Amino acid sequence: MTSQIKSPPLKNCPKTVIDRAGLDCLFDSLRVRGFTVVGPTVRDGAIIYDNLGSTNDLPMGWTDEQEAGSYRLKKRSDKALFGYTVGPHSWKKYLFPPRQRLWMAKRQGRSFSIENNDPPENSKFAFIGVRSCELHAIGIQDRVFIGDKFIDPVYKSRREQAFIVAVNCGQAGGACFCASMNTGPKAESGFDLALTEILNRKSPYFVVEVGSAAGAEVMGDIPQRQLAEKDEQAAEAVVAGATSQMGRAMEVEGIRELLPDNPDHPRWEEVAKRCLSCANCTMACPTCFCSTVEDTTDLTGDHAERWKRWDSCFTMDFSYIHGGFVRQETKSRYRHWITHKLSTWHNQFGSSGCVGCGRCITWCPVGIDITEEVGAIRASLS
Amino acid sequence: MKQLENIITNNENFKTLSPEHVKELAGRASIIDLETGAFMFCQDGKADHFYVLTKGSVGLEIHAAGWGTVTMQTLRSGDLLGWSWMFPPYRWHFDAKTLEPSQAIAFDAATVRDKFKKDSDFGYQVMKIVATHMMDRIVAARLQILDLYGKNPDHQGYAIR
Amino acid sequence: MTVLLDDPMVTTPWVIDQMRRETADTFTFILKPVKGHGRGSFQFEPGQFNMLYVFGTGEVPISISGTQEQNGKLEHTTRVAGTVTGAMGKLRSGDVIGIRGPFGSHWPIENAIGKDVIVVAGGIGLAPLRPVYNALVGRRDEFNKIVLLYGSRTPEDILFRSELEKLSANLDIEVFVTVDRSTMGWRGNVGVVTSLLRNVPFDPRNAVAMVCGPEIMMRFSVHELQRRGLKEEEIYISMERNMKCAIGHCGHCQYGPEFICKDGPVFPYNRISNLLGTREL
Repeated sequence: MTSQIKSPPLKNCPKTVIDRAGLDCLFDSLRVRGFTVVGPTVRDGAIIYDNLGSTNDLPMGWTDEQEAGSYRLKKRSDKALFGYTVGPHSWKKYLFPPRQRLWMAKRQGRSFSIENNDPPENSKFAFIGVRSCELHAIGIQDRVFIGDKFIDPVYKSRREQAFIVAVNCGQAGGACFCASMNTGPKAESGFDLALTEILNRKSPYFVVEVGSAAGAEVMGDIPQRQLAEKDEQAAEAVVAGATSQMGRAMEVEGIRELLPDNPDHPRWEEVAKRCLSCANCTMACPTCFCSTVEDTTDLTGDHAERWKRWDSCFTMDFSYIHGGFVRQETKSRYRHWITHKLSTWHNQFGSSGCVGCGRCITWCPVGIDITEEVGAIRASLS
Repeated sequence: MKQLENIITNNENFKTLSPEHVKELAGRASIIDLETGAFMFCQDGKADHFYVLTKGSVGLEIHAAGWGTVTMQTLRSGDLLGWSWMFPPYRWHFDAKTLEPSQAIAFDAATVRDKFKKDSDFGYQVMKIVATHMMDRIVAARLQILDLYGKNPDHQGYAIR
Repeated sequence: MTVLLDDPMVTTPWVIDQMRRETADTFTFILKPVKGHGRGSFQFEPGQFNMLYVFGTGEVPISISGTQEQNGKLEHTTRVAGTVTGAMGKLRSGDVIGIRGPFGSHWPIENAIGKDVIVVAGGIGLAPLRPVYNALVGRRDEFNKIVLLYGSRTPEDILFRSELEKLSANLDIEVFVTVDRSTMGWRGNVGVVTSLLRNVPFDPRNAVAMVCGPEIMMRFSVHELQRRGLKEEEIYISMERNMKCAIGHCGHCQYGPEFICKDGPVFPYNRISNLLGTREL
């Protein structure tokens, strides 16, 4: 997974070390360059992504406990800034906005003229704390929106401008399974800078890997020291720790056939008894890309707009064709979602649509677990 | 006789029959020619033949006072007509009226039935042919009932075409 | 404010040059570009579709029913089926609609060269096949037998009737029209279009079939064609699903691994035969 729209990744990413003050400096440096700095912050009992004023807005000393259908924040015993996994938000809300005006039209007699959206303001984002699974998710959406014949211009513009500061996971959550999806926990490519947070008791610091020319350029402003061998070892230990904690695993062997070959498996009925068709999984998923359009007019009827907004394959309307709905039953909708995510995504975009972040498991109100559903179908056949 | 055997042998419908069975059928068959508008059979008439159309076309119709005539299906060369001849009371359910000058092989129902009783292999082979046409006719009727091109009562939304 | 011309979601205004009523619930728009908009010529292949936008109401996918050579004009035939097509039915010549396209795959006319061609249409499914039979007739020498089978609900619902009559009078293409339900005065064939397939003259070893209509009608037609000995990969059908973007981004039209909008709507039967039997896919 490499972003093909940014400056080419640097070979043998140069590494260096910064401290907390260096991180402050990085924020300032990004802001000076015109970036809106966004990243994790605590809000309403969860770690979400929002605008960050300074490093003080980061969730210092917080961690999360995640299980199927459960998410809780907890205080840590240290002052880690990135000591948690992923929350309900993902970066798609910036690259692929949940609501977006496509264009406006003005009636002119019996004709009309199209006016484009205002140029999007503040769409130059610096993402702070992008996890490896999320880098993969961005790469997957790249293939959907800018990787084929038709290009989504808003996505393209936001994606090209984005500056990505990745963070290597120091711990894995209860719903995480990136190791088995081969998407983490170490950020391998697709970032401008990648941080590994070393929690030493006196002064926590960060090993920085520079992944692009843009990253190197920004690092020019930042006070830093040379990487020592013990820093490198400490960083490796951090990632190894996360790998060993992985809460779940997905067995992917033969999965491209497993789900499409079993459309009438009794497990679909079984999961439908629990599934509420609430669409939470699709909203939380960092790769789900479905959208719908809405047409509006003002009261005079002379001004029309077309809006695009996130949609979910779990709604009845989603599959509407004249005469009725294709997927009337919940079992068909769940089957569609998981089969697309894990199997047919390969046919369409050359990779899985799942990055093992575990959001769909955590944020499912009834705790349906994608790894467990696959496991159940697999086990019944062996 | 020999000529009828040839006609039956060369008819696509009977290609699965053995020469002996063709011979048996030919002995119970005749060729009929019909002008446009002629009735091959009439509803409630005696079903004493069944037919394979070899030329032209026939409308399968029903008529009732106050209701008029409704054509249910058009049959053409290659189609087999009639199964009322197999079951008592041996009365036609519908009218079969030619739409153009037509020709058919007519099989004598009573003697074919008689042969069925004595020779079950002959019966099975001929019934398979008749049953294929029955299946096609039932499938077609079911599709007609579906009214596929009509408006679905739940119709909203749009169509790509 | 400027228009991003390369944004595939932005529609282009076209003016209705002529609005032709075909039957009680179907109509044809003949469109021409609005001055100052558009991009010169509009190239498309038979079977492709456009997204048609009615001001303030919405956008629907409609296949192109006109032929390729029409002096830059564009033709769409549609049936009143919902809100947007309902609003379209009320438009008159001189009104302006939005067009995005063309999108999707097309009928395999090049693959039919030197073969018998069987065109099977049901209901409004004749509209996307109209550019096909017109192209076939226009290049008559390149094909063997050409057979057009068309099933309509009633005689009053027959689309492009005078055109079909003209084609039928031409001895180089065989046209069979049938109705599901006959009404007073109809002297033509009665019965479903699939039953015509049984006796239609073609050489199954060297033929290609293009089928368009309701999904059930297409499935039964394919069975009949297979029974005649036509190979699966020589049978093409046109699928339909919900579509919002037509560019493979919105996800709505997925059919198993396929996006109907960009992999279809026209598929060789063997590519999707394993999907057709699954309910609610």
